Amino acid sequence: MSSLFRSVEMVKVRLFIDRSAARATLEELGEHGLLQLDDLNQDKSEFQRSFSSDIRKCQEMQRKLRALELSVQECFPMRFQIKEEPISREELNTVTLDDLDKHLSSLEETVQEMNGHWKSLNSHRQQLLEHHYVLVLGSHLFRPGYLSLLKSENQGEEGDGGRRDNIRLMMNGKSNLNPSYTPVDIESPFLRLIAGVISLESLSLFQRLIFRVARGNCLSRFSEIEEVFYDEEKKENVRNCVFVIFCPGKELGRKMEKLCETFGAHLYPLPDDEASRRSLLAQVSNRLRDIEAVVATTHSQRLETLSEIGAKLALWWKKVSRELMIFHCMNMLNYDTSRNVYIAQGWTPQDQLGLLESLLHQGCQIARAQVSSVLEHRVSDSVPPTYFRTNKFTTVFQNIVESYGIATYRELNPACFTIITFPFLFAVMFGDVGHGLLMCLFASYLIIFERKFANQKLNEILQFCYDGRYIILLMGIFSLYTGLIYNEFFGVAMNIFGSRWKFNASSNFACGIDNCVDPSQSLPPKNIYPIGFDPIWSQALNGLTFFNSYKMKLSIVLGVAQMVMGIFLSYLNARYFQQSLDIFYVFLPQIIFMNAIFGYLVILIFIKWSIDWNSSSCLSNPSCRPPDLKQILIGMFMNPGSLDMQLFPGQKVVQILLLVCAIVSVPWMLLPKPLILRRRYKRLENSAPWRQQVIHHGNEEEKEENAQEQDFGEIFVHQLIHTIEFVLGAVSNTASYLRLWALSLAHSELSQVFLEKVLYGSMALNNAFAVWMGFLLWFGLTIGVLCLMESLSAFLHALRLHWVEFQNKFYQCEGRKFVPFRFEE
Amino acid sequence: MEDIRDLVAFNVDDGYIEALVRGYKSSLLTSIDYVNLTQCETLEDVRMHLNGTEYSTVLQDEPSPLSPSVIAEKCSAKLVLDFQYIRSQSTYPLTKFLDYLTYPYMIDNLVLLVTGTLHERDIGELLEKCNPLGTFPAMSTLSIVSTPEELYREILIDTPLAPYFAECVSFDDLTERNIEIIRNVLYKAYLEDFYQFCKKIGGTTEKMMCEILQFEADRRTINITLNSLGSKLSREERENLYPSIGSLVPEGTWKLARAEDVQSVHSILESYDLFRRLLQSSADNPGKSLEDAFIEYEVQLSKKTFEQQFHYGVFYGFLKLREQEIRNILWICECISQRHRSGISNYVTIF
Repeated sequence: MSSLFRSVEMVKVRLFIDRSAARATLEELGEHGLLQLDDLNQDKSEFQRSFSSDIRKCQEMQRKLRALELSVQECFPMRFQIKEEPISREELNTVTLDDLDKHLSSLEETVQEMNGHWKSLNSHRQQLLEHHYVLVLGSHLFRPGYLSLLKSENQGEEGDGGRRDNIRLMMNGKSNLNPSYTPVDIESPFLRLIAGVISLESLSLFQRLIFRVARGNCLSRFSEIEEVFYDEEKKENVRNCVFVIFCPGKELGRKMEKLCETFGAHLYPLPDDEASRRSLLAQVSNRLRDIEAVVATTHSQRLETLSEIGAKLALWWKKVSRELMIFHCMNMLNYDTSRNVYIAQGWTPQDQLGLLESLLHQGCQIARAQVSSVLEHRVSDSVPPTYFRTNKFTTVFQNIVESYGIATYRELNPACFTIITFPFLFAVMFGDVGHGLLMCLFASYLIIFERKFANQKLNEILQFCYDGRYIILLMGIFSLYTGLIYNEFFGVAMNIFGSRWKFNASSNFACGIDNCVDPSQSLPPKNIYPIGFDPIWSQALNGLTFFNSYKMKLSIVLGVAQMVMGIFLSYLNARYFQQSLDIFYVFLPQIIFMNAIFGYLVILIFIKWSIDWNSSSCLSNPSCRPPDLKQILIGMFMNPGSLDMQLFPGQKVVQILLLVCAIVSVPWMLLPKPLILRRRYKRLENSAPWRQQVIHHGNEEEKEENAQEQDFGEIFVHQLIHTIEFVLGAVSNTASYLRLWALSLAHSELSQVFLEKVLYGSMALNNAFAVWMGFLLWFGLTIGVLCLMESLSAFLHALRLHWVEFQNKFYQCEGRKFVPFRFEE
Repeated sequence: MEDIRDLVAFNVDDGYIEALVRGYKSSLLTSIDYVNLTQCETLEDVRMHLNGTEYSTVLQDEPSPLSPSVIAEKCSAKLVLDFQYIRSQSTYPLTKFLDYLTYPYMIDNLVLLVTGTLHERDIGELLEKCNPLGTFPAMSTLSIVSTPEELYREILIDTPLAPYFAECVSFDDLTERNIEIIRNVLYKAYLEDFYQFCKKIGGTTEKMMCEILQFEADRRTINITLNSLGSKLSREERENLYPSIGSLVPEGTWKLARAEDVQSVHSILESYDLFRRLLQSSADNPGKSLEDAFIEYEVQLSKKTFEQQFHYGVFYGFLKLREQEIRNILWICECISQRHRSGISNYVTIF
C-alpha cells in the first residue's frame, strides 16, 4: 500500500557489463522489467548504431514470418482466432536466432516453391476446367433448333428447362443478325469462330468493345459458369463466363483475337462438328480427372507442411520480437573499447537493487563471462520517473488518475483515495438498490470468470467493462448502500420495517404512529424508520422538496469535506518536500479561507439539522422558523453586522470574525511567497560574490539580472493566477458539487417516471399482453437508459469531480511514467 | 461573398477530407529526413530510415536486396492508396475535382501506350509502366487500334478524355509526331476545361487553383515553344497548341509563336517578372535547368495552397508534393545505388 501512496523511490544506476554477457544480461532484465534505459547514443542516427545490422536481420526474419503466416492463414483461416497459449522461456531458449534465420530462409524457399507448384498446377487444372466448360456450354450453340429456342426465350416463353438449369444465356442485344441466316453462316468457311473464357467483371466492357470493333457485324453468345474459380494472384474468388464469337472475315477475326488477348481472356479450340467436339471433350475430361488426383495429393502435402509451420509460428514470432527488443536496447548502450565493457545507464526502483544485482550476476553466469558486471550508483540532477506498483484491483484507479496526468515523482497519489471516494460519489448520484444490484451482479460475473475472459479476445465495449470490473463492483456495492439510504428499489420505496407515519384522510395530514395526538397537526414519529428515508416520503406531496433539501445539503457537505481533504493533502506534500513556504503561505491561508466560508456553511447545515423545529417550544415562538442558509451566507458578506435569524448565540461575532479571516487570507496567499522568494534570491546574490567574479562581462551580468527580474515576475504572476483560481474556485467548485444532487434527482425521477408511465400504465390496461409488453419496455428502458446511460453520465461526473474539484487542490502531475524495458506479455 | 460561403459551408462535405489531407501533408519528409537519407550508405539504410517515417509499412514485406525502382514503386503505391481513399470519401464537386487531377496521368498513359504499340512493345510491359492514378477502362486494349479515329471511337469514348479528343479525330494515322501533337492538344483542352471548372466552383478554390493552372499553362506554352524550335511545326500549328489561359496570353503567346531561337524566347520571357526570376535562378546555378526552376516554383505553389483553408487547392498541393517527394526518394536511392554521391543533394526540399 505504501507504494500506492507515494511513487517508488528510484535510483539512477550505471551498469558495466562484460561484452560477452551483455545480451544475456539484457534478456534477464527484460524478463523482469526493472530498468528504464537511457539512450546513450542520442547523437547517432538509427543506422549508425552498432547493432543496426542485427536489427535489420530481425526485421528480415519478421518479413519471412509474415510471408509464412500469410500462406498458413490462407490454408487455415480459423487458426488465428484463438488466443495462443503462453510460451515458456525454456521453450524460447530451444531455438537460437541464427538457426532460426537459416531455418526460416529454407522454409520460405520451400513454401515459395510449393506455392509456385501449387499455383501452376491449379492454373493448369483451371485451364482444363475452362476448356471443359467451353466445350460443354459452347456446344449448346450447335444444337439444332438452338436459335429458335433463343427466339422463344426472348419472347419470354419457357424453353427446355433442364438444359437451362446450369446455363444462363445472355443475348448480345445489339447484334442485328437475322437469325434465319445464321445456321447457314455457321457452316460457312469464312466465318471465324472464337471461343474462350473471360471473367464476369470485365464482361460488359468486353461486350461493348466487341460491338464497337466489329461495328455490330458479329454474333456473340455468353453463358455464365456456375462454378466459382479461385484466382491465386488476386487471392479472391472470381466468376467466369464462356463466350463464343462468330465473326466474318480473317482481318476482323485477328483483331477480335487480339482484343480477347488484351482482356486477359483464355481462348480454347471449339471444333464446329459434333464428333470432334465429343472426342475433344472426352480427352479434356480424362486429363482433368488425372490432374484432379495430382491436385488432391499436392493439396494434402501442402496442408501438412503448412500446419507444421503454423504450430511453430507463435514461438518464432515471440523469439524474433524479443531479440529485436534486446537489440534495440543494445543500441542504447555505450561501448567502452579500452575495457571491453558495455555501459548501460538508467532508472531502477531502489528496493529492487538487490534483485537487479542478482540478475546481473545471473546474466554473467549464463554467458560464462570472465569479468562480472559492476553496478554503480549515479547522482543525477534529472527528475526520476514516477512508478507505482499496482495490482489487478488498483490498476484501474491508477489509470483513472493517470489519464489526467502522471504524478510528480514522490508526490501524493490521489489514486489511493479515489478507490473509495470515486465509487462513493458515483453512488450518491446513482443511488438505487435495484440498479446497484444489477451492476454488482454484472461485475461479479466478470470477476468470477476473470480467467476465462482474460484468455479471450473481447470486443471493445466488453473489454472496457472487463478492465474496470473492480471499480464497477465497488460502484455497485456503494449504490446498494445509497439506494438503501434513499430507499429506492427500481424507483419503488421499500417498506421493509413498516412506515412510521400514518396518513389521516380527514385532515390530509400524516403524523407519526406513536405521536398522533392531534390529527390536524403533522407531528413526526418519536421512533423513526431504522434506516434511510421513511417509505411514506415517496407518496407525500412535499416529498420532492424534502429529498431536494436533503440531497442539496448533503452534496455541499460531501464536497466541502473532499475539498478540505484535498487542501490537507497539499499540506502533506509540502511537508514531505520540506517546503515551509508552501505550508505557511499557501496551505494555511487556503485552509482558513475555505473553512471560514464553506466550512462554516457546513456547520450551519448541521446546526439546522440538529434543531427540532417541531418542538412545542419552537412552535410557540414566532421567531423560531428554519432560516434560509443561503440568505445567511450572502448576508454575511453583504451586511456583516445584521442578522435576521440567530441559530446559535454569538453568531454575529463569529460571522464577522470569519469574514475578516477570509478577507485577510487572500493577500496572505498572494503576496508573501513571491516576496520572500525574491528576498532569498537577493541574499543569495549578495552572499555569493564569486558568482559575479566569474561573470566579468558587463552585459552578461545584466542578462543574469534580467533573468532574475523575469523570474520574479513569473513567480508573481503564477502566484496571482493561483490565488485567483483558488478564491474563485472555492465558490465554483462548491457549486459544482451540487451536480451530486442534480444527477441523483434526475436518476430517481427518471426511474419513477418509467415505473409509473410504462409499467403501471400498462398494468392499468388489464390486458396480459399489454402488461407483458409494458414490462419488456420498462425493463429495456431500465437497462438501457438507467443502468447504462445514467451510470455512464454519473461516472463522467464523478470523474470530473475527482479530476477538477479534488485534484486541483494538491495534485501537481508533472511527472513522467516509468517505462522499464520489459518483454510484453 | 463566396469566401464567406466557403467559410460556412465547406466543412459540411469536405471538412473531414481536408483535415485528412492536412494530416498527410504533415507527414511529408522534412529536410532533416532528407539529410539523414543522403547520409545512408546502402539502400538497406534507406529502408531503416524510412521505417521511422510515414513510409514505415510500405517496405516491410520487400525481400532484400532492394532496388531504387522497387522503393519508388512501393511509395507511389501508398500515394495511390491514399488518393483513392480520399477520392472514395469525397462528394461532388470535390469528387469531380479529384477526377480532374487524374486526367493528366490518363493522357500520359494514353500516349505511352500508343507510342509503345507503335514500336511494337509488349503491352503487359507497357501497362506496368503506366501511372496507376491514370487508369481508365479498356486501357489494355489500346494496342488493337491503328488510327486516331478508331482510338476515339473504340476506346476513348468511354473515358473522360473523349471531349478533349474531338479535334484530333481528323488525323490520318498515328505517327510519332501526331501522337505528340495529340498529347499537347489533349493537355490544352484539359487545362482549359479544368480552369473553367475551378472558376465555376469559385471562392478560394478559384483563387488558388487558377493561379496554379495559369502557371501550368504558361509552363506548357514555354516548353512547347522550346521543343518545337527547329522542327517542322508551322507557326499556326504551334500557336494552336498553346493553352488559351495563362499570364502569357495573348501577347506573350503571339510573340512566342513567332520566336525562332532560344535567345528570342528568353528575351520574350524577360518582360514577365516571374519568368525573369526563374530564368535568373537557372542562370545563376550552372547545374539547374529552366525545368528545375519550374519544378521548384511548382513546389512553392503547392506549399502555398496549405496556407489557406476551405478550398480544394490542398488536394492538388498534396498530390504534387507527395509526387515530388517520391521523385526525391527515387533520386537519392539512385544516387546511393550508383555510388554517385556528388549529385545526391540535387533533390527539391519540400519542408
